[in-house]
Amino acid sequence: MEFFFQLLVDGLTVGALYALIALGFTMVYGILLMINFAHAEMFMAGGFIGYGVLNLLSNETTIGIASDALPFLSFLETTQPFFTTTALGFVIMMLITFGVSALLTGCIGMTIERLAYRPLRNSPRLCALIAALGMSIFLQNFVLITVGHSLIFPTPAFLANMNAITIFGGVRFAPIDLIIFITSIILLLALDTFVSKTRIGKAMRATSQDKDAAGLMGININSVIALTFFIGPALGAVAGTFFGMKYGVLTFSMGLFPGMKAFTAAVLGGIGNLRGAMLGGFLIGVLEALAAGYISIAYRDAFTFGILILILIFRPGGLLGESVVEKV
Amino acid sequence: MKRKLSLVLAVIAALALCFALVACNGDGGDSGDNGTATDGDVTEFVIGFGGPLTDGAVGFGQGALRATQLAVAQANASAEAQELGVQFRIVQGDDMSDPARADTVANSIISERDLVGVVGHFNSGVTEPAGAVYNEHGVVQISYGSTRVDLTDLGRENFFRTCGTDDLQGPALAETAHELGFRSVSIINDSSPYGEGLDELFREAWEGLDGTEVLFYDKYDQGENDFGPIVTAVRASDPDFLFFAGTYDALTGAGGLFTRQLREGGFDAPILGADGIQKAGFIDQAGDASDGVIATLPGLPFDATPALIDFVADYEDMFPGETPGGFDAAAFDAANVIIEAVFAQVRAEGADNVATPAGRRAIIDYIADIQTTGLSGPLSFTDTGNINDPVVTTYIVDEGSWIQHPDVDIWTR
Repeated sequence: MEFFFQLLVDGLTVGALYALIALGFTMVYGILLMINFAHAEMFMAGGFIGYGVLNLLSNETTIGIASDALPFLSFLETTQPFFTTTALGFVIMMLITFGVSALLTGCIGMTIERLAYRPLRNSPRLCALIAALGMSIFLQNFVLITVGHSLIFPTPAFLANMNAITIFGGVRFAPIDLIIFITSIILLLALDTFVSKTRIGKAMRATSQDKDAAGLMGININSVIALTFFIGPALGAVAGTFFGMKYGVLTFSMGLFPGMKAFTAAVLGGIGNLRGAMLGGFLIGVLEALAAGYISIAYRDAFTFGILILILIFRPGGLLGESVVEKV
Repeated sequence: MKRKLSLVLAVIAALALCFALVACNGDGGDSGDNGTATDGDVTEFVIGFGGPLTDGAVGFGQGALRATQLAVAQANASAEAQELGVQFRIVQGDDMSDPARADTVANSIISERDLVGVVGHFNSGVTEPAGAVYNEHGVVQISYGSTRVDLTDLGRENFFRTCGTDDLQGPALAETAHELGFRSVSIINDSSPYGEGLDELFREAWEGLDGTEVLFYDKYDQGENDFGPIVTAVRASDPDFLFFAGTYDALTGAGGLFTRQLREGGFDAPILGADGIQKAGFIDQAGDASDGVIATLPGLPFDATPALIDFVADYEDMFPGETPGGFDAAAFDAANVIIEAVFAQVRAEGADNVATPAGRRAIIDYIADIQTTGLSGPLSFTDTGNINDPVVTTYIVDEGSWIQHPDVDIWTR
C-alpha cells in the first residue's frame, strides 16, 4: 500500500507539470483551432530563463560577472545573502524567479504569435501548423547554439537543506514536490477563476465560441489572442522552471516528451476544455507512474501514447469535451 | 505592412533552416575538398573522428576528440612528420549517440579523399552500423569506447578497439562487489545496446558467485528524466547495492539524474556503475548525490605510468580547464596507432601510396601485427581486434572527484 501511495505522490507531482503545460495547448486550440507545437519550447525556454534569473539572484559568480558588465546590477551583491539564507528571502526569490520567467516567456509567446501565426490566420490551418513546427525547430536550435546542449540546474541551497516529509511510515514528499503541487493547484484555480469570472475571461470564452461574432460584439480579437499566447507560455515557463529545479538539468530538447505528454493530457481531457486539460494532466501523471511502478518504467511512454490512441478511437472529444458540431 | 511581416517571417524561416542544417552537420560541416592535398613537399592525410559531440554522450565524445587532437598535434610537430613531409588533419563526424545517424556520419567521413583511418565511434550501437561503411570501403576503424563484446565477432578485419570490453567489466564489477561484501543487488539498465550488454554480462558473473541474489530488475527508456516510480521500486526492494548499467548522459543526462533522484528519493545503499559513468561530467550532473558512487574503467589509472602522467599534463596544457577522463587515453592510443601505421606505410611505399585502396589495406595489416607502446604499456591486438592483456581499475567518487578505490586492486583476468 505504501508503494502505491508513493507512486501516487510521484504521479501527482509530474501530473501537475503536465497540467500546467497542457493548458497552453488547450487554450490555443480552443481559440484558434490550432495545435501550437512550439508550446513545448515555451516550457523549455521558461526553464532556461528561470535558471538565469535564479543564478542572477543567488550565485555569487554570476552576480560578479553581471555587475561588471552592467554596474546598476551591483545591488544584487547585497541582496544575495538575504535570498540564499533566510526563509523569507527564499520565498521572495522564488516569486521573482517564477514571475520574471513567466513574464519573459509570455512575451516570447506573444512575439511568436505576432510574427509567425497572425499573418497566417486566414490561411489554411495546415500553414499555421507548419509554422508552429518551424518555430519549434528554430527555438530548439537557437538555444542549442546560444546557450549550449544542456545546463545543470543547481538546487537552491535553502531547498537542499530541507528534509523530506515522510508519512504513513514510508511515503516521502520531497520539499520540491510539495511546492510544485501546491503552486500548480493555486495557478490552476486562479486561471479557472480568471476565465470564468472576469470580463476578459468572458471575452476569451466568447472568442473561442465564435471569433467573428465576438469581433462584431466589440471584442478586440487580436488582443484576446495575444493574451492567450501570453498566459499559455507563462504557465509553461512555470512548469519549465519547476522541471529544472526538480530534475536538476535543462536540455535544449527537454520540451519534447513533457510536451507530447501534455498534449496527450489535453486530448484526454477534451482539447479546448480548460478543466479537461487540468484533469487530463493529473490523470496521465498518475496513470503513467502506476504503469511504471507496477509494470516497467520502460513501458511508461508506450502506456501514455496507448491512452492517446484509445481516446482518439473511442472518445475523440475527450473526457470532458463537448461533442462538437462541425461548422459549415 | 503585410509584405514586411512576410519578409520577417521568411528571414526567420531561413534562419531556422540554417540552424537546423548547422545542427545536423555538427562540426563536420567544414570538410570540403580543398583541392590537392599535396602542398609543396607536405602531404596532408585525414584522420576521421566519430563520436557524440552535440547530443547524447557528449562528455565522452568531446573528451575523446580532444585526446585525438592532442595526438595529431604531437604527430604533426614530431621529427618523423617533418622528415617524411606528412601532416594530419582531423575530420569530425558528430553521431549524437544516435544509431540512425551512423550511416550518414560514416559516409561523410568516408567521402574524404585523403582518409587514412577512423578513430571512432563511442556508442556500441553507433559503432556497428558506422563500421559497416568503413568496412565496405576498406578503411581501418579503431573504436576508443565501444565495449560491447560482439563488435569484434562480426568478422570485420578493419575493426580494432583500444578500450576493454564488457566481458571484462561484467566479471570485474561482480567480483569487486562480492569482495566489498555485497550479496543482494537491484539492477537497472538504460536500454542502450551498451547497457543491455553490460547488464547481461554482469548478471552472468554475479550469479556464478557464492550467496548472491538479484532482488529487482528494470530498465528505463533512453531520454527519460523522471525516475520517481523506479526510485520507489528500487527503494522498496532494499538491496545491498544498486548496479546501474548505463551511461550518464544518454540524451538527457539520464544516469546522473537517476543517481541524484535515487538519493533524493531516500535510497541510501551504494551505487555501482561502469565506464559509462566514470567521467567528471557525471559528478557535475549528480552533484552531492555522486559521493561514494563506485565505477570501473578498463585501463590503468591516470597516474599509473610516466606516459599517462605526461599525457595528462599535455592534455591540460592544450585544453586549459579540461581534465582527461573516461576513454580519452584509449582515443589517444587509437589515433597514435593509425599515425604509426601511416608513417610506416609512407616509409615503405611513399606518400602517394597511402590513401589508396592498397595503402589502406596495408595500414590494416600493419595494425593487425602492431607491437607498440601505448599509454598503459605494451599495446598489441588479438586476432579479432581487441587489445591484449586488458586490466580494469575501480574508482570511487570522493569529495567531488573520481579516485582509485582504496580497497580494491586492479583487476586482471
